[in-house]
Amino acid sequence: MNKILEALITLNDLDLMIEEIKNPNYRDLGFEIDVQQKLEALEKARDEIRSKIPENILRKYDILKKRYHRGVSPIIGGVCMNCFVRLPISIVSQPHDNEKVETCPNCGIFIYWA
Amino acid sequence: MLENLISEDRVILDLKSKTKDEVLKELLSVLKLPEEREKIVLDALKKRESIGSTGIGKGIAIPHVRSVVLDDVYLVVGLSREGVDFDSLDGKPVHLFFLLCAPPQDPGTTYLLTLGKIAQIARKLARRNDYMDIKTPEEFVRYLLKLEEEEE
Ligand SMILES: [Zn+2]
Repeated sequence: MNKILEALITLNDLDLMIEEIKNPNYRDLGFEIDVQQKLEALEKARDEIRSKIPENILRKYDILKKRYHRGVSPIIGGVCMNCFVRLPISIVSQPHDNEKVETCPNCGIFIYWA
Repeated sequence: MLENLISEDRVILDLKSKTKDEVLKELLSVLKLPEEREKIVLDALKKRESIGSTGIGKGIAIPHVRSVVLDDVYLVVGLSREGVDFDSLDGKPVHLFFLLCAPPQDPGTTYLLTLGKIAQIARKLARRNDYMDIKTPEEFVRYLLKLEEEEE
């Protein structure tokens, strides 16, 4: 897999985790977490991953994240799982190995061919 | 709610794993995800465990994670006769696992409700141990659905 795409996926999953432990409804479920301490560790891990991603891609990720609550989406059966639009057959029919950073032609999200 | 999520082919009654990492992988393998996606989800699960065990005590754990590579909510139930050291709150080995994996959609609501439901069922299970005698996945599914209906 492309290293930047891989970093984007890890970053997005980390962002979800950070958002989760900050959520009071999640905290009410009673999982034992030292939130303050763990949040610092997660944010440090997030900073590390962000440093591996080029500035222009990060900027785009942040915008997508704000708009869709995610920056990366899988393509399953030729359909983007963020906007649920079928990608053009000319794109889908090509071989995909996630070796480059691509975006959905409809919603612009970074895509992962699943 | 649980009815739509639970199925016999996602119940393992004889987990073989002895360690935390192994058991996460064994539970996840039931979903038959392509290798690369499985690795991504497994990494996220391990990271989640590293910030605090999802072993809630009384032999029960609820490992859970959301990942952008997933497209659906998945629940896997696993039983370990021997028990697995899962760094639980009470230090006891875990015998019963509920693995919940979900995509990031709908900023948390459905997923959190499901997680809450499972935690509620786990609290009921913590007061009993008759589930260790269940012999088939079908029976286990029926048992959990019945438990879901019971008053807490
Ligand atoms: Zn899209």
